[in-house]
Amino acid sequence: MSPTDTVRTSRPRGFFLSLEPATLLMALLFGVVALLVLTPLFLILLNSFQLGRPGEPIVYGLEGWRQAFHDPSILSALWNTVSLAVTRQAIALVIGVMLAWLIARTDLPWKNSLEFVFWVSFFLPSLPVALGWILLLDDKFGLLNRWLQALPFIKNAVFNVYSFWGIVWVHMTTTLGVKVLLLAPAFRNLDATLEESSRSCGASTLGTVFRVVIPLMMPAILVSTILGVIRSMEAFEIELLLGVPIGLFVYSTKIRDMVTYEPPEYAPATALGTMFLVVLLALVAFQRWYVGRRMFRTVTGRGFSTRVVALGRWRWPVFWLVALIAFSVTFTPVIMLGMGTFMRAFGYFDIPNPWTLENWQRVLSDPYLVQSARNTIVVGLGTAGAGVVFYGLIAYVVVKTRFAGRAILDFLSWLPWAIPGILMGLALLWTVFQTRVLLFLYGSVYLLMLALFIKSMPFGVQITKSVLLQIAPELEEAARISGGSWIQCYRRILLPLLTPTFIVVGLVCFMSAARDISTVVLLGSAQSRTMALLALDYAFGGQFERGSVVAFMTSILVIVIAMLARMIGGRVGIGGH
Amino acid sequence: MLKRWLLWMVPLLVLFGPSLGEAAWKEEWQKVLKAAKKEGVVAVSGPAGVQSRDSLTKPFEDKYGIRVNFFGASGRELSPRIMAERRAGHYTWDVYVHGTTTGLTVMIPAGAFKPLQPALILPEVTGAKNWRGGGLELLGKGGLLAVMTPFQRGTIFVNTNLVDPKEFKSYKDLLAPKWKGKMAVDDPTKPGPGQATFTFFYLHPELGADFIRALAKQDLIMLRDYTTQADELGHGRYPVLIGTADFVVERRIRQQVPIAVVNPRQLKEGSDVSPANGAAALYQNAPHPNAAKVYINWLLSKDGQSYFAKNMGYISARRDVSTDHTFPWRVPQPGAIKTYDEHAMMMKKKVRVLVREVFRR
Repeated sequence: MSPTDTVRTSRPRGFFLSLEPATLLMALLFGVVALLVLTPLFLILLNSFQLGRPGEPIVYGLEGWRQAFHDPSILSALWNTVSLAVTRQAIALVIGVMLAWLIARTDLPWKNSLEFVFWVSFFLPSLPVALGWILLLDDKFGLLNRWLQALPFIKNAVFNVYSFWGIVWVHMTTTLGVKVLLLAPAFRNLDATLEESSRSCGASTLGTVFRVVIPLMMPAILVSTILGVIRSMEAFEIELLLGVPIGLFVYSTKIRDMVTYEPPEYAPATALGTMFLVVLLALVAFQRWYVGRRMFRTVTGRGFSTRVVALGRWRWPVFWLVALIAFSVTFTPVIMLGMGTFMRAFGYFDIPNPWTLENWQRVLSDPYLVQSARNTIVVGLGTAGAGVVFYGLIAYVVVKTRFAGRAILDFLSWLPWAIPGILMGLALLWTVFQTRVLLFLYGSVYLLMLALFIKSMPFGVQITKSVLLQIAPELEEAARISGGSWIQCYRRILLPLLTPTFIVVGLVCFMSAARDISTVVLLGSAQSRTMALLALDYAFGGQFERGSVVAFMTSILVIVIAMLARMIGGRVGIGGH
Repeated sequence: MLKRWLLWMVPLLVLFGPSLGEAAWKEEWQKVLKAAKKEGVVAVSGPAGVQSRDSLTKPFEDKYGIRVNFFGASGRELSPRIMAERRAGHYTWDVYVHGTTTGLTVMIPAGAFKPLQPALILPEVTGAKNWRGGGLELLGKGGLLAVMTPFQRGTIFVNTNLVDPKEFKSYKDLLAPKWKGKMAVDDPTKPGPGQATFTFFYLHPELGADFIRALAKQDLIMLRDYTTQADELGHGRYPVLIGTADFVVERRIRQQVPIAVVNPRQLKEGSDVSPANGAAALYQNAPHPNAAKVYINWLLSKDGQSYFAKNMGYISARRDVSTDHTFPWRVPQPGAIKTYDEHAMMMKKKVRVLVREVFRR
């Protein structure tokens, strides 16, 4: 059978769990996931019909929906959102897939280091990074423009960050990092014999990439694309900064506007938020249709080769190209962010005594720093740990079992993305107080962990699922036949193969916990404040430079955790080339 | 008989009345303080920002030994939380320190506050002579929301390398053709200093809706982030900025960035008065009622107001609190238009409709 043949199958052949307690456990898992996911979604939908202002009696009606979709600027905001999302996802996908392939499948020099550089770009906070790019690319005072205009043949500014392409570029610096983060582990799980078979049939290296590798990687590519589209729809910070001055509004700006009016207008905001559900349904339906028609097994019982593709004479030119991309999207913003922490006024080089250590001194002597760092680590590790275990379990049930509700469980795991990020904290707040089930956790770090666990569920489950789809069932069956229990099979066969993915899932959960503001503001307390709130305290007081110190420290914290995770993962996971 | 009784009662009252009153408030204060220390903690919701956090926690803790559980966020971020809690019968907050907008439009209609007057014990707080305007200003029926720091706002900000701040004598100078396309503004369609400025324009008898319509024809560039607004001005991208957060600009001025606030006293129409985040109230059903009383008395005392006003860059309504930390023109002028009271809240609804129409948002 040619490696490029796809096999049509109506049901995946999975590892059949025949024990009754296992079925009960799966049913319990299903119930818990349904409760955690459907309750906030239901409350969001319910409140889209609730017209009473905060503090007033509850009144139901359709006025919120009429107000939301009657706004003539909604269509242009939606168009801007779609065009920005499609443009940057298209560019990032093409470049990201090639980068992931080069890092995971070839003999590129220093590829592990390059991969980590891309990870770092993903860990950097978006607002200070955007301000850094403004400092470089502003058409009036941007440093890069000023340097270029010093050349005799350049009269006008070459770059303008306040533009459609400026927004695309600033987002690209994190989008590429996400693509590499998500796709490289999946690419590593490709058996090299599939590529060798293709080349021995006469296909070129690039031909093999497009006709063998990419089709087999489609589950991971689709998940990363859906993640990218949803995040693009939710994005508003950079659009506020760079789009508002040029009259470019996006969908989430409209939602945010309504939530931040005084008094807030939740009914139209939540009505607008339902657009996310529509988009998600369409994307998920497409993904399930595509994945359901084919098999994507690349790790089978026939042996697994990790030989990489030799780039030959292109090795070093490609290395320099990848390095240039990596350093552009990572080190430029890191330098800008780091510089900002030592400036008296960020971006002002001409004021007297522009440099200072005072920002660091002030932050390091902040009495709330240690508490915030401790809470961040506790919430981050708790969310990451719980996430890795439960998302792995959910993905396993969906892919590897014959549990009757697995299709619905899969769909439920997507649903947290149906609630835009800006409304998720609100949805969870309503869940806590209107159901009262979780009231005993209110104000504690555990509620924050739970909230962030729900938020990260689609990503964690789908990425783990895309890797599980690559693993053929005969590996577990062979272990079972040899007398291994389910736990032994999971620990000795699946876990090493899933470890790189779990590291990524854990890190993204950790980072989400470290950076989240909207959830912490609505559900946190004085005792559970995190580094994100500390950074907000400084930024809100006009002390952007000190906020940058906290953001820089948070990024370092995440990078250190990432390095530790990679070291531990390297011992647990399968050995790569 | 009555006359004889009065003859010796009146001098007795004059002689001993004050000390009787003093004994009464001191006794009450000691009783409340003792109960407050037993409660051990006070939960305060206040504005986000290191300055507010520092001024609303440690000084009180150092003085009374009562821990402050402080949570900072904007009023509009805290209001859904507080409303959800109260609806579920879950009461976690004692003292409110935020702006008047959230207080008047969300909290008071929801019955979240209780009358302040019965909680005010210290004579330096209750004494009318200690406050500008002859007494602490209380908003809301029953006196629910105290206005601690009404100050004259800055409304026009300029880059001093490009514009002489003394050039402006009236807001109508902004309508000159030379400023077309060169002025940035804090987006007035959303709550914030931009909207407060446009509310002032709307309320001023010599400006009004016509002025707003004329100003909209100057191709104003809308910005939303306060730091970006100050920096675009400081870097000279826009020579003039209308309505932004004073404290952000003042910080940049202290950092010697070439920015200036146009003195409203040189403008024919002046500027509006607002307390920004300097309003305070007591929550109904507070979990620590005695600690809340001690806290509110401290916050409104000279001690509390000195810390708060100085750290936030505001002007306290107390006469005995220094104003040296900010511009002298920030002291409110008599008769200045208020953009923080109930009337202004009602007008803001009309202003929002108008600015959305003229700026097409």
